[in-house]
Amino acid sequence: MTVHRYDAIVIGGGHNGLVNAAYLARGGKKVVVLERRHLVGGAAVTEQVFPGFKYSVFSYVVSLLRPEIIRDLDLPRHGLEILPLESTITPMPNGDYLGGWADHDITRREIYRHSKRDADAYDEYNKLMHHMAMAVKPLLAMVPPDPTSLAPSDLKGMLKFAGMFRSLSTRHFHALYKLMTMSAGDFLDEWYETDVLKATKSASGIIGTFMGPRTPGSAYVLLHHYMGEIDGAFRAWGFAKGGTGAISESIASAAREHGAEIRLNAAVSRIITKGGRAIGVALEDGDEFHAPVVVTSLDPKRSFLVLTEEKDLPADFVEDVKRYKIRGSSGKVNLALSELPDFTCLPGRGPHHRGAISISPTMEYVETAYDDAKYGNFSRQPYMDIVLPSMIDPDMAPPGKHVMSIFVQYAPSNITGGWDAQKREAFGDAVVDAVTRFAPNFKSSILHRQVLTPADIESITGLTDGNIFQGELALHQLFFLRPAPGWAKFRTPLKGLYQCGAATHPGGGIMGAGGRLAAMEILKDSSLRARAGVSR
Amino acid sequence: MRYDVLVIGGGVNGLTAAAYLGRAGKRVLLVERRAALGGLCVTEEFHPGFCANTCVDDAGWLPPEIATDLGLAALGYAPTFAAQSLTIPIAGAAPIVITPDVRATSDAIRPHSLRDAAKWPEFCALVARLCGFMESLYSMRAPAVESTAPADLLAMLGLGRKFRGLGRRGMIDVIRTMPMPVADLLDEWFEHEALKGALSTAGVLNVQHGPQSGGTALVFLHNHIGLPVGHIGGRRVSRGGVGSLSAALQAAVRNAGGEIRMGAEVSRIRVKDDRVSGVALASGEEIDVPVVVSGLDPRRTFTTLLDAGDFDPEFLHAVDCIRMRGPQVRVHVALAELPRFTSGATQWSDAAVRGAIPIAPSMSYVEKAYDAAKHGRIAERPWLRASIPTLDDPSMASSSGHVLSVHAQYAPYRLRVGWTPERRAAFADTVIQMLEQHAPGLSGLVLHRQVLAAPDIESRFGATEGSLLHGELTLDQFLFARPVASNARYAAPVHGLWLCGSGTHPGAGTAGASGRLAAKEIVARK
Repeated sequence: MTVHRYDAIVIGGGHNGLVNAAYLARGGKKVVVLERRHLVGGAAVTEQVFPGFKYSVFSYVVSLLRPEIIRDLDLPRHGLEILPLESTITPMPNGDYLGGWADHDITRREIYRHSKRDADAYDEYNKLMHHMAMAVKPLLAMVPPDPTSLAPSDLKGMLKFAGMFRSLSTRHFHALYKLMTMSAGDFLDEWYETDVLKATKSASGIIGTFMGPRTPGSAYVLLHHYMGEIDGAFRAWGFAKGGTGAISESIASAAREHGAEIRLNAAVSRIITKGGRAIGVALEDGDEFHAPVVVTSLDPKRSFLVLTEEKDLPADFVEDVKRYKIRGSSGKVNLALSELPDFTCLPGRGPHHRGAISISPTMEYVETAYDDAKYGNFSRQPYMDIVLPSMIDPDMAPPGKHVMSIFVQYAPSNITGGWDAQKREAFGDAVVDAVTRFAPNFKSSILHRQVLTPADIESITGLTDGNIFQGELALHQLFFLRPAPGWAKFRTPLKGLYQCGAATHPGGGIMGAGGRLAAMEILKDSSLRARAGVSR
Repeated sequence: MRYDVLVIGGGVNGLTAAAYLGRAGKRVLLVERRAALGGLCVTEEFHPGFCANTCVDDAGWLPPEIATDLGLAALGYAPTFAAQSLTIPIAGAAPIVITPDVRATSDAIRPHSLRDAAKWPEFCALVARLCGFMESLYSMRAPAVESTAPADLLAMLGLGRKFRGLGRRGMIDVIRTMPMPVADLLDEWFEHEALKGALSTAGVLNVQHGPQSGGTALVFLHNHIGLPVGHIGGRRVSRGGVGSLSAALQAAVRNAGGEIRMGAEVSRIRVKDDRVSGVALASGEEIDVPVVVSGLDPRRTFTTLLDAGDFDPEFLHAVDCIRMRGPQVRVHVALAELPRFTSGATQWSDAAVRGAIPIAPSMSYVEKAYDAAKHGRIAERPWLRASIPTLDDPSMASSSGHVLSVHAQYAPYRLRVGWTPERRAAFADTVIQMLEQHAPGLSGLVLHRQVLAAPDIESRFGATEGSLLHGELTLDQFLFARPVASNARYAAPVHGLWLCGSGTHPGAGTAGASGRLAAKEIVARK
């Protein structure tokens, strides 16, 4: 057995772990990242699943990556390049479609085609959502204060928090309150009348959650996704050149430049504790890494119920972690295609192939998809968000061929009887059939197919129940409650053990905020220790 | 005679407001469209010799101030708590009888789940603790979160102190629980499906949501306000039914010098120069009065009694957006005699029959019933809560007969195929068939049945979309957002017009709390 010594150990080389390591290294720490797999990225990886065809296997678009991280780590120099996704097209059952384009005026005209009233509402709605996102945005860069605490830092935080709300007009405050508490469907009903428009918009309120568009709480997720920004430009979803793995690679490269070490094929089997504090980790091969700071980027179930012994943690904390809701609800289908799908609503090759295709024809369709999942089945007619990365980045597929990424909901992790090969293929068939209804040539154009159920996502990435947000974005699991009440400040009940994954504030998406905020807290703690003259 | 204030609607809140205004020296006139007072809180004869609590089985939490201020006990309303809360049928076994006695209930649960039995006392304590905090929220006007007026800051401070008084875990529980789905809350505590199914109905009572909808934990707590520790699924009973509250309030209004006119329907609230000038009755009569207080629901008040031109369009849009959505059907059955409830060959105990009987074998059963309503259909297998009020109060039936009252969900107001008499009858058939499985021979005892779907509640009682809550009581229509955001303090955006109904804070299920708080605001405003 070998023992390696560092200032800090980061468990997991997903984007949050990498961001954390980069900031710690930048702060002068000797850091090592331990990644179980043979490549970095966690759920943000690019892999050649079929010869010649490259895939953003799990996470496939980016909009939430924090601009301060891009700046601080100088990611473009490390290879980060975001290509914009220019449109969203929703095919309709009647052969028509609804389009949303990067160009505001074209989109407005398109909505006008469906409803004059909605075209008017569209501008107002965008203004409001922009305002809301701007208002909430500072929260993303803030360590959530604990409203139950009277500690000066918490009181200060609460005042800042209250000040943020007070700066809103009464009208905006109430709109924000609605967004926090309503269902996406009900919220959109207040604005729009066109069903397909509401269905498509409400879909961003359900992504990654175990909720339907009519479930209260989904409006917040709408906002969460609305906060996306690329280089400061609001509401622009994009695609990383080289796939989402390229984002991870760029962060890893920045981390290495700052002196961080990244070890692949290094699976952590447990967190080593001594006298109530974490002092290091043990790998599956028996090697040990010791450091005064251990940071886990894994989800809390894995970090605290698998890697840590229950006896090392307070009982109520363990209970809170067990209560933490983490049901997986989505699957992913990655395809190699011999030709582009020819949509009935927009025949031939067109600009829509360079954007997203949303299979969300009606509110009822999406809601019914959720109904299936509630009772332990995959959606027979699922909601899907489809992109063709090879249309934006030709390097992703051999010439003339294409790769397609289909994000699918719902595929419940707790499917009745558990997932098996047969159910996986049946699920894949349902997905293919649902797309073929809108693009008749689709089924026969498939060269290869990779179907990923929540069980597959879990076994490959380690995300418990395959939940892409490391825990549902429900109101009772946000801010100071994420991931457990009182433990939202990236610390844990074990001294020396920190957390920085999507299960921490502010939550999922390729955002990196948790990784960055955790690093700043760690650096703060260690400078306090240094000042107090405590040696490690 | 000249009046200072006219109150529209003789429901519980209208009556309470009128009584408080009269006590404050105002000359008050209350006008009621129907021939009976009480609004949705009425006990009516639905078949000769048989009475039922038409819309609600429980008059709800009576704030102690109202009981004292208006001397309601002396006027005939002094409710007690039912001795039996819930009787939960269990397939192939005796029912679980939930009573206010925490230990006895634990014992009753134990044969079905050791774990749940052990957790019951702690759960009861949690509910009581959270409800206690909500009671303090409900005893004051809605906090104005955005206001910096000294009175508001002081109120917030007082609330803050109460909040801190809960202790760290208590504070977390409040913040964490309110937005939760009741299904998640119950899953955290219990494992027994039938127990969870039965309890979950209190989280979706009168709202078109399922147990998995966020915020239904709040509804669950709301329906336990004012009940002592252990009264999970409990209710109040009063001789004469829920209508006895209305009768006592009527006397209180008269004692306070208020005048009540029945059979007087208001057709318009007159507005002149942005100020209320009086009302016009359907009979053509006009009454000049400077202050009008509406006990009707906000949608009805603003869209049928006033001109759209009287308001800011944004306000009207907000009123239009209030979710009303009555999801319930009330079925009242006159029975020739008491039915025999059995589990297999064993007859239920007398005590068991006295509890409300939920037919909701699991939370996913309730959720499935909700799915139907969500898609505009009647649930094929609705959840039910059946009770026999004549057991607690024999005066509800004059003969040896009994009354069976059933609250059933979901059958949405907006039915895709539309409501017809046949659909109502078919729904009642389903209800009776479902109950007959526990009470063999029930259908043979039926003398008469009354079926009230949401549209019937609307046409009879004037409650928009048949909502017994005057608007769903969910997180987004709660506190400062009730009835609409920024208008939660009873004053309508027209001078001299006020709201006092259960569509305002704190809302339905609190007997007169809105009426009292509204009257206080009106008196304070001069």
